[in-house]
Amino acid sequence: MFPLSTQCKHWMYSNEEEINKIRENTNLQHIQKYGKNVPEASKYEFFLTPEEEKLMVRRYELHLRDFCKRFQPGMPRHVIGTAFHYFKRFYIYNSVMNYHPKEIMVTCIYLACKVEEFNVSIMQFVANIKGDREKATDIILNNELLLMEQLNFHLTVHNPYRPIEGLLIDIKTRCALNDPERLRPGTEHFLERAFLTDVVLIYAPSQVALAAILHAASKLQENLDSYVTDTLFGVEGRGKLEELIEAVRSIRSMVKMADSVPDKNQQKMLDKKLEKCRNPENNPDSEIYKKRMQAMLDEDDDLYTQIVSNNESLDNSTLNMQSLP
Amino acid sequence: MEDFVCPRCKTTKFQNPFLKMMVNICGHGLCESCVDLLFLKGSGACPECRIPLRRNNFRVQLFEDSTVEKEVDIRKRVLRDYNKKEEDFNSLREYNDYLEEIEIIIFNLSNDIDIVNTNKKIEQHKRDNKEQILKNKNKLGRDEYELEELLEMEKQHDEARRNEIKMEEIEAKKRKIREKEALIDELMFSSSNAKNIVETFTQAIKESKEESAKVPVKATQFSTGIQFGRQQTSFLPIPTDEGPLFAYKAPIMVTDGPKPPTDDDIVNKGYINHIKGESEQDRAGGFQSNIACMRALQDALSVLDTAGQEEFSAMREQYMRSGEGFLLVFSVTEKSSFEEVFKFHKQILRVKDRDEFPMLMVGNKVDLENQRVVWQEEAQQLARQLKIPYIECSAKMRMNVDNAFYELVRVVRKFQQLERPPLKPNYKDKSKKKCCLL
Repeated sequence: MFPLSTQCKHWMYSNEEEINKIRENTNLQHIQKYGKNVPEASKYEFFLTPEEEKLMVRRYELHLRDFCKRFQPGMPRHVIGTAFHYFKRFYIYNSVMNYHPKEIMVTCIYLACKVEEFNVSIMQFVANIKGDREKATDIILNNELLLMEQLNFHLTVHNPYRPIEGLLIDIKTRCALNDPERLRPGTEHFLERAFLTDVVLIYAPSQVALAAILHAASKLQENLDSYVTDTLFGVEGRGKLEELIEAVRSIRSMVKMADSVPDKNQQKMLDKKLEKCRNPENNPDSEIYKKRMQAMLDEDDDLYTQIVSNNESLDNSTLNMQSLP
Repeated sequence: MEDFVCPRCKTTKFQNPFLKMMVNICGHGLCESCVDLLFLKGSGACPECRIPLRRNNFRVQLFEDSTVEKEVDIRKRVLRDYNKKEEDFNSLREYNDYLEEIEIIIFNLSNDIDIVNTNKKIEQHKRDNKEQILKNKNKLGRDEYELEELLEMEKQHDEARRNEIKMEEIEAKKRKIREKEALIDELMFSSSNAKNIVETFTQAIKESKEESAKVPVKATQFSTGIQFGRQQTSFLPIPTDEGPLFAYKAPIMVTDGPKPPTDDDIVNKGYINHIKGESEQDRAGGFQSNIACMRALQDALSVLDTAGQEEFSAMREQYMRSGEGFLLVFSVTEKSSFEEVFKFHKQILRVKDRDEFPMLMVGNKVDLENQRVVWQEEAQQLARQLKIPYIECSAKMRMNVDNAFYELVRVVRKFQQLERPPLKPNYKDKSKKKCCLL
């Protein structure tokens, strides 16, 4: 039940400004932590601005969508939806400069596969990635726990796909619309774009689904208004109708904004800037990171050797037992 | 059994440890390889008494004396036909006579007395009691089966017991070592008299031995399941149920939207017609299409009307995480706001993962004396329970507002001083992170 879910309790915000405020705060905290030597006036020459961070996240959301569409074996859409949720949630409280979106993106998809029971092994998964697959495996598995921690272990996600099915069943049963299956391509297109916005962090899945259905209907020049006002809410729900209509309207206008295409030149510039300012502690190519991992491994080894020697001494004392009185 | 010799090839058990003596109805032994050799065709004569034998009647010899073996064989054959039970007779006398008759027949046959007549007698008996013999045979089969099962169980029981004993032995060895080590440690590091230490240790060991010797396990059952010794009762224990029984409670559905149709509606109003029917495999797995249909509808209708009702809840924990101290403000004219205080207190402690944290309970709007519903005593009682100070103020009259904040800062400082012990001058920063991923 969505009203009792962690998604509803912890990951729903009242509007876009609220989310942006948290993002700005995250950005500021990162700069305060790592930019002590950078003068205040020129800090944005070195670090990314909140706006630029948003652009980066947006771009990698496009990557995420394309990656999932190309994924072999074919990925069910609710896996993609869940991966989108994870990715968005992660970058509300984490800066792009701290963790590179390229790495978090694949980790989100991998985790979503697990949570949504789309069973692929890590080998199968990295087969979809170009480049060094061993390194990708390491990155994904190293980041998995971090990601879950940052998501507060709230892993269950309610996607708008099931509500769509429910609404279609309801329309077929209680509304005289001619062939409701026609709405499907329109709703799918709408949801795909909706996932590129913050809509899913603000509105309930059922509302997003309703907006998608209404959008698809209007594209086909059908009118479902009477279904919503009379059938869906009935007589007793009249008072709540206004809120819902407002929500649907703002969902549709937010999704309309999703169509803008990012500028290529600006992207390249941002990539370069990020390469300079990203946190080396979390960059798998940096020396610091390698050293840290090595230290962790060594520590494990130490622990292991200690355990082994303990066991050995115990064994020896057992063997000598017969000679003792 | 050790000095078995095959009468034909003279092989002994000593020469061939795998020697297996076989015996046929006449009771004369032959080793396995000789049987293979002589009875290649499936039948032949016994090399000693020249009686024609069939190969598949050979079996492994169990008794040294061939007459015993022969007797066993005959007894087996006769009992196959004379298989009446005591229940089949009217009196014990008759049953005993019957057993006597069997014994006479077996004796005659095994000692070659009056064979022709005896065999005739058997044939007669067979013909007369054909039906009953068959019936009893079936019954016998069942009895044998049960017996076998019992034996199997006994075997398993033995195995488990052997394992248990082995484990106990290992445990005892380990304990001995531990005790010894403890003694040595004590001798090395303790400052008291060595003699005393040794004495107390031996005393302890003696005691533990006595304790373990106290409870011998008494066997109260033969392998056949017959019980002996003094038994309490032979009834099955009455099952006692612990705690209350499970009672199904229907889950409460929270929708925050239009009411979804009921289970009956789904079928009656035709919702079910618009989704895929369940296949036989689906049903086997406990899936029903009306469940899926219901779930989709519930999801579609839930939270359609009350978005953003709990606007701050997602943010709240984030605020709590960074806060150093909290004012829990409620209105003395509003009972529900007073009840929230308790929840907030709990939530803060959970977010902070502490047993206590700097907090101050503030009752606001005390200027509205005539509308007051939360009284001072009540509020103080809660404050004591939560172990936080309580203060009353009025924002409208600017009464105690500053004091509330000062008091909070004081509490925060005190708390932080307790949290951070003063730094020692030669304190070395050794911040090696310990992390172990399992």
